[in-house]
Amino acid sequence: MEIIVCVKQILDPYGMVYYDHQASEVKKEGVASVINPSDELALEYALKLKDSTGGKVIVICLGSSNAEESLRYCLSVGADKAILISTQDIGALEAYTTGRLLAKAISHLHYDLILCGLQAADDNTGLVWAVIAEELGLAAVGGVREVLTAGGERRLVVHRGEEGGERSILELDLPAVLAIESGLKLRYPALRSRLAAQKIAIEKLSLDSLQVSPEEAKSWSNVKLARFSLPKPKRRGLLIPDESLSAFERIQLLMTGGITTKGASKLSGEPNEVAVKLAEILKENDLVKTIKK
Amino acid sequence: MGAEIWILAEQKEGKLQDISLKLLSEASRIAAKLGGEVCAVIAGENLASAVEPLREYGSSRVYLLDAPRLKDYCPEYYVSAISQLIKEFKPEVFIFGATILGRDLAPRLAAKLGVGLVSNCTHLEMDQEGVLYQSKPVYGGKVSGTFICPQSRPQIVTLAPENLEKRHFPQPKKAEVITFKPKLEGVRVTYQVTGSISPDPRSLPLEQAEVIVSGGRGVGSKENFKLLESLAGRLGGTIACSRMALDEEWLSRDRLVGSTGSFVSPRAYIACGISGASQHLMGMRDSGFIVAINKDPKASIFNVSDVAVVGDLLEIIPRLITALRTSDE
Repeated sequence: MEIIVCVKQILDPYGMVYYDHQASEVKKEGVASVINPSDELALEYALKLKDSTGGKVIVICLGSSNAEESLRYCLSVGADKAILISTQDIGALEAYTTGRLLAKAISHLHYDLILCGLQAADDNTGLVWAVIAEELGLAAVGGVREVLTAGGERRLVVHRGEEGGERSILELDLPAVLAIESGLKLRYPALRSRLAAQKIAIEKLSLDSLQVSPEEAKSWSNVKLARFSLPKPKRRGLLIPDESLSAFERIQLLMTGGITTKGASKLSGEPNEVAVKLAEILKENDLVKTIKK
Repeated sequence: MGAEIWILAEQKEGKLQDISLKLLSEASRIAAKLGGEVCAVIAGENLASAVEPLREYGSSRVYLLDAPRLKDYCPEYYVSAISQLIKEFKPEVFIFGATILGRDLAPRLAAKLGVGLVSNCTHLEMDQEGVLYQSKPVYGGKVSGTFICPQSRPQIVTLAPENLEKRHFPQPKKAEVITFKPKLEGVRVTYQVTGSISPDPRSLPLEQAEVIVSGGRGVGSKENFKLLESLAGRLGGTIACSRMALDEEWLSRDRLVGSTGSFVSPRAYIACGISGASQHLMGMRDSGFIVAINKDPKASIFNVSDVAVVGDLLEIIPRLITALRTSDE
């Protein structure tokens, strides 16, 4: 099976990115770049399928040259080939354009299956998988939680997540696009494959080689950033600014509507009453399973 | 008909889902400022009974996509039917819930129509020109990004359900019902649903759990974790623990949540007797809905909770389980 895995390099979602209100900009110095977590899960599915059915795994990434590190890592865990579509000419791209460019590049490759994470952890748009499927005219399943072979290489069984933790079992023919939501953690690189990976050249494509001009790519973009700001408070709950901030900072946060810690509805008192109230809250939030009789 | 603001109403087995009314409340809020028409789109079979509740929450028009092929969600049929509807009636804005259905359908529609999509929004505002300002947490929730689609129409957005409430706005006196029969012959369906499973939540790895009941030093003993297990069972979830509980050997390493264990983001995280050391918070602060139970009102865990319960978990949890059981009978 020839499997293509689309990966995105993002700023570590657990890193110290923050919005500097004074300077009106997002600060991200020193934050590491990582492979989007659900793309890593997608890569693990690809490698598992390669283990059982043979074939090749190609990783493809749209990014600047510092994405090479992530691609090198993908090679070290077992991918056979890595392709980087360079965005030096146009800078950061929104999801729709990313999907179109990836689809264009993929259209020149042989493939049976395309895997990617359901969404990127930095912008949580979750559109790229659908654009790739639409542009290439492929079947697609979103929110995949398991991928299994099904007697014969051209057919797969996948589990799709549904409400309440249920899963639907779906069968489909290849070629197809699967957008991965959960799965096993990406394997660690063995020393041997790490060394082998050093010798594999990462193929670099420019927009030019895809026959797309920067202007054309820019014209595809529909969504524009209006502004960044401090995180907005959730509707529910009180605003209780972090006590470790100075009074000035706390007032500033309240004035600008941004808050770094959640407020909480407080319950205390007689255990029976607290339990009943808490039960109500859990029910209101759809967290209580109905017992199937 | 002025500018139309559409919402996708969801039905399951013919029953209108709550998200639909919440979306209508949000659409009505924006429309009130600008005078747009709020319309509900609903696909399925035998949908007549959905019209009245949709009107009650603000739809002045209901588009019924009524066909046997639309009875259950099938992406190809739904995308085809709804694109035909959009092509004919040209809405300005189309709002979906960021539900399982919404996050599958909205991207497919945006891709097919070649229009912009902003997902998981928490705040919407509309300006004088009818441009929707869509705000959402980015960079792991540490920054808020506000986005616009200046040109492409409809402006498609999915809204995070946790931020929505059902609220009544002035109701239209009557909801105009438009029954639209989409042309679905020749639409290729690409997968078959052959079954469904409910995996035992207790056997799932922590990263996949929908609901986690987690215990820290306050649980007190290995025995007491049975209480948390019962609660987890009742909520369809699984148990986990903090570093403190692991060091006491009350649970095994695979149950550890924190920077040296698992990073989890379940729909709900119930932290019992956990103080909220930063290593632990790092592992669970992205959880959707956080409930913390702790004797200490100053516990740091309360800084990230949606519900702060100050009390003895050994008193509260058994009573909570009873309260949840009673509600069934």
